[in-house]
Amino acid sequence: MLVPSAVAAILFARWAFGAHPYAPPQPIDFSHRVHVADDKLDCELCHSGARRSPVAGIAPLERCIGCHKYVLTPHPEVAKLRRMWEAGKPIWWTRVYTLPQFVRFDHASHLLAKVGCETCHGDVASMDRITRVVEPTMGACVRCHRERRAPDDCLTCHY
Amino acid sequence: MIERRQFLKTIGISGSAALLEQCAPTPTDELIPYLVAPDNVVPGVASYYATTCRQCPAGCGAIVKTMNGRITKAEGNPAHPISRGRLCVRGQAAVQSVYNPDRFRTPIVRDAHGVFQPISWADAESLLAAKLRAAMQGGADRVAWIGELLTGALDTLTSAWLSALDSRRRLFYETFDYEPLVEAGDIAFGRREVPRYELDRAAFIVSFGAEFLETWLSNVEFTNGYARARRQQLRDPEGTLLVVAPRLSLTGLNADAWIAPRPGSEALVALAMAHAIVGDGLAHPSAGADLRAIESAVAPYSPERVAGAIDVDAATIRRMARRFASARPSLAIGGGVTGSDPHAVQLELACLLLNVLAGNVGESISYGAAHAVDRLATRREILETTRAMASGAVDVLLVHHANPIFTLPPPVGFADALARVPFVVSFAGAPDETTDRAHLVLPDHHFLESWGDYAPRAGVASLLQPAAAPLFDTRATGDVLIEVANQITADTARAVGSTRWADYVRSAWSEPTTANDQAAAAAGWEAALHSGGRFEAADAVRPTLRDVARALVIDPDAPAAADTYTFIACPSTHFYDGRGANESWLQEVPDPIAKISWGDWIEIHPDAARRLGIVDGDVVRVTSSHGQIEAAAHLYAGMRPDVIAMPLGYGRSRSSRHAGARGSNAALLLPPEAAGSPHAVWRASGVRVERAGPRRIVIMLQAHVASREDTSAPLGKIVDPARTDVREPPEHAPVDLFPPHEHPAHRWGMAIDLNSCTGCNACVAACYAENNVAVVGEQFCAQGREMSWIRIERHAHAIVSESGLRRPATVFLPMLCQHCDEAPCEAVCPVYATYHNPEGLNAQVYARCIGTRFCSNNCPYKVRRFNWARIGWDAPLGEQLNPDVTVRSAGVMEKCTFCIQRIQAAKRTAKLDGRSLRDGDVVPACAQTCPAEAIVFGDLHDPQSRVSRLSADPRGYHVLEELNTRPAITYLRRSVPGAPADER
Repeated sequence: MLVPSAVAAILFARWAFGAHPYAPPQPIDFSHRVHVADDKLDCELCHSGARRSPVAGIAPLERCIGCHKYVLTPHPEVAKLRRMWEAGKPIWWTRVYTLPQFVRFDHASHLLAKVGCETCHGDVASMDRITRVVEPTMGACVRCHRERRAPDDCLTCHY
Repeated sequence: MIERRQFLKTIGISGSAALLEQCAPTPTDELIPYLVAPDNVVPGVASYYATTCRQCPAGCGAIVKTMNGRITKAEGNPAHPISRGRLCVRGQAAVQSVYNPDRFRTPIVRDAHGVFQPISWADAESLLAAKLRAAMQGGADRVAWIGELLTGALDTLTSAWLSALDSRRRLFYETFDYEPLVEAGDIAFGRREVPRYELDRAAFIVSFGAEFLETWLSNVEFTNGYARARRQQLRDPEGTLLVVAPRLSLTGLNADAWIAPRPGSEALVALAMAHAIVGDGLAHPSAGADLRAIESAVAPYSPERVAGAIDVDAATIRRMARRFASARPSLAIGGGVTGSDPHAVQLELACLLLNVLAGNVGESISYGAAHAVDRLATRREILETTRAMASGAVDVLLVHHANPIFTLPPPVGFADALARVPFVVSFAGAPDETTDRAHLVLPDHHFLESWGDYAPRAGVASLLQPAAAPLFDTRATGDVLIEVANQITADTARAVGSTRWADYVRSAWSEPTTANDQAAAAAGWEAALHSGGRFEAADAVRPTLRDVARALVIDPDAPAAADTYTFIACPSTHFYDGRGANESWLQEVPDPIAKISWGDWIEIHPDAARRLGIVDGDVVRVTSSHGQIEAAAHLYAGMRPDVIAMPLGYGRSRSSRHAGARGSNAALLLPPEAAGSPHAVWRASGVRVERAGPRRIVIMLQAHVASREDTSAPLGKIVDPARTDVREPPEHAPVDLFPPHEHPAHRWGMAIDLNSCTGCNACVAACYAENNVAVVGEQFCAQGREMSWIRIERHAHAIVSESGLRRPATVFLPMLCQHCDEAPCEAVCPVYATYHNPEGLNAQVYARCIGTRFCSNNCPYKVRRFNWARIGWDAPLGEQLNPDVTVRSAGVMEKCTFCIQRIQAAKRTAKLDGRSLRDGDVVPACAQTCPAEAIVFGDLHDPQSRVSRLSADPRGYHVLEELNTRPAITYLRRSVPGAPADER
């Protein structure tokens, strides 16, 4: 009685949550596919902290306007962007890849180790809306660290 | 049909099985990028700004670390000649004072009912302008300014401003001034100034009470210099510091030898030493020309003749005089703040003579330094302004970062005089006793948010720049003055100009004379901003001695009345003159001497206490001819039995949340000026003491100062100077139950030199700031639940004193997690929350900890701190928190991590630079700030690292070595003359 119920519950959970990966709506419907696959922009153009900081960051609105002052201005999302710029309101992006507060992740070390952005963030170039296709579980981190002989000492990430 | 119990089990397991799968993440985070990113700001990486600390007049250069526009940490500026990369406990607490919840958020004005109401800046400035205009029309000198010491741009501005208002009433008021020293300089050399002391050049120092390791003149610079000299003098059999004072301050506790003369007779000791030097032919050749004059001046003061008056035997005087004269160079420093009373000027004069006799002038002491403190108002000038205020001659009083209501003794009459001034304006940033009586408060920015400059002495032009945007609706005083002057009359507007204050400072610092110089001037300004100022060597002057005989006539003092005491009001290492009392770190970190937190105390000698029937903690009432206070007694053997003492900074106004209504103000007992001379005095004689009530709870974080009488030897070890190169063999051979840990890459370790540590608590405050250590408050402190990761233990060794010469033999031991190789805590954690990491650290993973507290139980050093409750930070103190360090919640254990966040950051920097870690890349907060450079951190696997070399020093030992914990911290024994050979 016990084991079949447990199995059923697990299968149900996988179906309920696994089939629909997390892709929340964003204040502006920014498409990575357009900017990365089509326009061939580098990740670090907008996520410039990745190479030098624990935090990859997101482009300040100034960077978006740098192009979109002139590029594709009739598009409704670009118009939305320009209105926010005029109003002086920064964009509140909804976070998709989140780590709990007790985990410290350092982007710069991983870039130095030539870990591609896709390893943890998935094939972003193919995404219109950012989707959480890779679950950043501790198991995934430790597995990769062990494979690549990076430190698997607790204090590396938990301090 | 299933049974109920079976049903519940099934549901339970299925439910938890469902939860075992990944649940949909509930988004709680938003990512909010900049609108326009500021230059040179990388999110996640700190920005640093060079500025100057203004917690006291020393003017230490600081580098302030900011994250996301919030100030998180202050460090000393390594390029700065005063701070030399270090900051004291008050400087470290500056980052807390920026975010103090009691700070004024807007200007306020008193309404008709006497209640403060917010007011806009525009209205406040026009109100002030109107009052000033009216005052000007009443005649000259009707506007008065009492404020902190100023140099540079604000000095120029306020001077021009007051002249435009036809007033010459400007007082630079500092609680602790240098009048007797300045007076003595005038008599001796015709130089009315504070001399420049270079302690790193002195092989032997005699201090007649100057608190140069804690509060006097420039304590960071002096501690650093003193420690450097002390490291060179390890094998000197007489040590490096003799203190001659009736009470041991923290400086005194660090002394190698202590002479305790009768209070008021300190000058006679100095003169007797001078007599001995001259008489025994010990004078330096350079004193040759002055020898005859000095000889006749000190002729009446032979050691034998004054022995009775000073209560010190002649042989001791001669011995110390010999030591002082033979050290090349030595240094005699005078009475400091608590100095001497009476005869303070004679004491300073005698010290100058001692320096001349020993050939120190031009070596460790010189003139021509043009200290800013030379321009402080004298007590006479303060009294004169007070009288003018009382007589109604002042219409508007402006108080700028001074608190004379609290710091001037009541007999001066300042409070009554202030009440007679119709309009009192304060620029204070936070409430104090003077703003309690002000009519208008125009809060200045915090000094960490300010533009400005400050030159503590010639050759050190130190810049202030904002490390963060002003937190509240405050305004730079410079801007207020400029704005107000532009509203009064056309003349005042013209006198002051109309630039913004920031531009005013900048133009004062970059004055191009021709168009070609514009670029150079701009580059000069940028360079000054980067390095924190302009620093150059200043010329020293070696002045010639004048005839001083007449000034050195000291009439014998009347003997003290029976059953009376001399009361000394001491500057507080933490609060200074009381200004730091509202910072919770400074209240929670225990006082360096008494180890008391969150409360005041009166120091009484154990013999006196026995006579009075007082035990530790009893409430005593102290009465002088000027006032009366009550406080809990604290027995302290570091003074004469006829002396009682109390730190300043208690008894403050209720308008401050931490300082308010806490304890009694020691200044209430003080006379308005010294007997027979017109300067400030911090002693009262003829004071009566009586027991007033039963014991109060006194929060002492170290109740026992171990001594030889205890069965356990003190943990802070000492060694005789002659044996500093002899390694003591360990008591037991090391035993290994387990295979040793492997440390493939680095092995972090630390060396703490007890010979250098002065016990000043700078490291403790730095750790609070860096590691988000919670302040738990009185109740938890009383239960021993304070959270400090590092504490300074005070250990006293009782050394049999030779006649007349005592040895304080005190060791200050910084105790922190030892990161033991065989850690008792690691073995008992049931969940592997603490373990030994491959780099030698004892790791504590907060997320795994379930709070059994077995680890703390097992730790022999008791350095593990448990979060008994969720401690919050009153807004906006939370802004100061370091984002690189986890904020711990209730139920987890925490302890020193060797600043793991700094280790990780250094590794990242090294990786980004494409190199390996070098010695000196990783500096924990405690090591970085220690003014004495006592703490050294580094890689024990690197044989060239400083820590490896220091760990191999013969003086090295491990605390509680016999427990076989194998700490990663090596302590170096303190060199104390007279230490017994078998001291373990």
